[in-house]
Amino acid sequence: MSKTIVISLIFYLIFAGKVFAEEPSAVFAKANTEYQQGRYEEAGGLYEQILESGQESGALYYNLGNSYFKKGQIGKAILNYERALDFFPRDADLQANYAFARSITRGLDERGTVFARFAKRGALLLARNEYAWVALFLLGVLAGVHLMSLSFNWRRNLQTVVIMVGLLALIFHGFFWVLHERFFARRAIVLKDSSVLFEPREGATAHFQVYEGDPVEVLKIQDSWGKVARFDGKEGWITTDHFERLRRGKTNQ
Amino acid sequence: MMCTGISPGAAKEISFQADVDRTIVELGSYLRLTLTVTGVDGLDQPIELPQIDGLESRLLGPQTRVSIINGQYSSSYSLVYFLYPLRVGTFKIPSLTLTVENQTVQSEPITIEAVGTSQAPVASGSTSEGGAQQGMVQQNLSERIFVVLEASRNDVYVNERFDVTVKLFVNGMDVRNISYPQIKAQEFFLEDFQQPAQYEQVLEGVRYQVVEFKTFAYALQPGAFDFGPAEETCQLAIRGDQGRQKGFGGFFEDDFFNDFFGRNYILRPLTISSKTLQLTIRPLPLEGRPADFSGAVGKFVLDAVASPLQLKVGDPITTRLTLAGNGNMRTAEIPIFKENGDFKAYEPQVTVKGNVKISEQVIIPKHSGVKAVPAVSFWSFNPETARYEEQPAGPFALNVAPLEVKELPQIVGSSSRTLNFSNTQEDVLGKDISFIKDRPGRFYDRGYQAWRSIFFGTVLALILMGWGFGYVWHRFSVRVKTDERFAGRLKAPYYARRGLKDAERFLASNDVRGFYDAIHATVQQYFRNRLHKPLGSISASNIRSSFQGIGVQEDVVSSLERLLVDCDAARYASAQFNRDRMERTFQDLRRAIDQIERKCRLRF
Repeated sequence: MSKTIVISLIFYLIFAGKVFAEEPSAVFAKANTEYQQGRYEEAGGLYEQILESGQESGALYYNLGNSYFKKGQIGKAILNYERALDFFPRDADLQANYAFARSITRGLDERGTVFARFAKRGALLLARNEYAWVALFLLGVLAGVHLMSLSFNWRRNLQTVVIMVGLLALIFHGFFWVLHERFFARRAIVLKDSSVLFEPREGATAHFQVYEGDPVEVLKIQDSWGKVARFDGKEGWITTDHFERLRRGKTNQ
Repeated sequence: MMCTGISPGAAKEISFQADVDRTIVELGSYLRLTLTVTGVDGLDQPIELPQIDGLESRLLGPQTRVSIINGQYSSSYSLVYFLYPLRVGTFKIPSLTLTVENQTVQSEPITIEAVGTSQAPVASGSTSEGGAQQGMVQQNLSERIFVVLEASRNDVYVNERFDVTVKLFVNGMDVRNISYPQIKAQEFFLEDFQQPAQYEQVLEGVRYQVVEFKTFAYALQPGAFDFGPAEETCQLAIRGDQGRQKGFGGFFEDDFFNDFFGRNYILRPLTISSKTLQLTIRPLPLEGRPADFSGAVGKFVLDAVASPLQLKVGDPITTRLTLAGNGNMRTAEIPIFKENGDFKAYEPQVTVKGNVKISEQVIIPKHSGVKAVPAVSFWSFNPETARYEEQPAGPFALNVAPLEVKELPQIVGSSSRTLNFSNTQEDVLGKDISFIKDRPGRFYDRGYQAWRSIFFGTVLALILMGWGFGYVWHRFSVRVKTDERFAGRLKAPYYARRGLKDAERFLASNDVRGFYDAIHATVQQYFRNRLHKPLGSISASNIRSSFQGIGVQEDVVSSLERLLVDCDAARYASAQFNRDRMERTFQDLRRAIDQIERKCRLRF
């Protein structure tokens, strides 16, 4: 009898979290209610709770960004808006809120080179998973058209043109996909105003200033220091607690 | 020594110049004297060279040069003489006077030296010009190619800009791949060199090709410092002494072709250094130095523009400060607007283009009480007046309106024209974020990527497999259509199975004639496709030769031969064939086809 109880207890301890955890949708709805009643701290906490359970969605990041915005944490708000861009980059509400949040930061307008602007636009054309499915669709279309051209005995030149156009479309799509992945993998948002230093040590010479909400590109992580680059190409070192990356994962060391 | 005379007050500028190609000449050789009159198309009579004891002259001929550059017409007339020394010694070509178009012009005297053969200095890197120039005295290399470093001033202030010129002089040598000069000047900052200029210059009666490099320099600290030397690296093209190797290809090894294609030259690297200059750098005076002086030295002009000047609270004003001058633009700190209680200020965008530095900065008025964009000033030290000078810009008067309030709606035709909302509180227009999303959308596991999913991989594999299968099927179909032999080999087993089935049916009904007709047709169809033979071409007489080289067993060939004989016999005397014989024939054919299929499959 006692053996059965012990086994049941172990089973409970292992699976209790999974079995009895609240559904993310329910927590999301509860967080929305808190938000509507102006309790942004509580709403943000509930949205974060869903993230901690290992789930994420574009609307979740968007609402979390709104909660931080209302609390006056512009850096965190921009961070979560940019994370939401990974899920629905063409959403009008998201674009409006993101632009508004960016406009009230103290940092510079993110201008950069023509290529950098083009790369950002290209990276935000489609959502993370849309790039994968569109690539598959293009490959399927290319295969279908190729087989059709063989089956209907199209002229050789026409076949070549069709295949080349298909391949180019795939290559361009792949290029934008890479831009998208690179953008989200390397980008981080500054959470506190800080000086970016020439060297990764306390007391080093300041190179330039970054403000809360400024985007930076993380080039390297070394202990508790990150080498970051601003859009204008300036590079320097800043402690990792001053910024947060859009995607948490392996660092480019 | 420029041997030039210009007629004063002349309506048309005429000058007269005498130069020699070198100043030292070997006894028995000659040098070339050129008398050039610019501004004329010709002379009525040749210029008479005075008799010089021990020096014989011979007029080679006149040359006329006419050029029109940017619509400007210019001309020159030259007389070229060869001068032959008759003895060793120093000779002086005196100043020559010429009257042209009522203007009198005069050249400078030139001194030349004639030396014996043993005295002629030999130089490496000199060229052997050949032809008329054979016997040219080889002068020191340093007299034929050298570098001159010049600074516009030798007494400057710290951070004051001064011109630096490096000239490469070349006389009668083929110099290639000239690099930009390197100047040793640790206590100075040097700008990049500009595009080099090329021209001719006569020095002490010798004409040189000059390559001139210009740049600016700034002193970094006070004191007396060496400036230079300037080092110039280039390559000397020296004619190779290859000799002429006759053999095949001799035509193309001819000197003409070698010279034309530049194959007969050896390029030798050469580094030439100039002399070192001594510069004195003065410190900036402390007296009168303003507190916000940032170290700019030179003459500067600051220009400022701000727009718009009529705006609302929160609207941005773009200010553009343009600093132009002849100082060090890298260190000149253009003034910026700092954030205060009236303005929010963004970090400026600063660009430098040549002698102009531009700063664009956005500032935003925080309230409607702001009346002007404040003035800014730039302090610099002017080395000409030795004083600190201020360049002010602004202020710019502003008209900042407060934020608008909501206007009351009006009703057209209404007597009151305007609705009375006296009990309603007016809303102040503002800006805020859009509301939250009601639905969470699809939740994904954190870090989920569709392309890593099994479903994505399966679909990708299906597409690739379908594409590959479709392509292979297409190739197969094309071959079946275009390769008759291949198609026949594929069809042969099908015809065999169908024929055997027909024969079996006739066997069951004991129809001898029908059976042997079916057997015959099967043999013909099968072998037509399998062996690519014309229909009806297989007979008992030639079947043995048809199977040569395939490796079919002898007994099988024999049974087929017998089978075909039976087929022919059955047409005319079917009564002699009983069921057993028909059964044996059937089995013989089946066995033969089986074996041939196996053999052919291996073979094909």
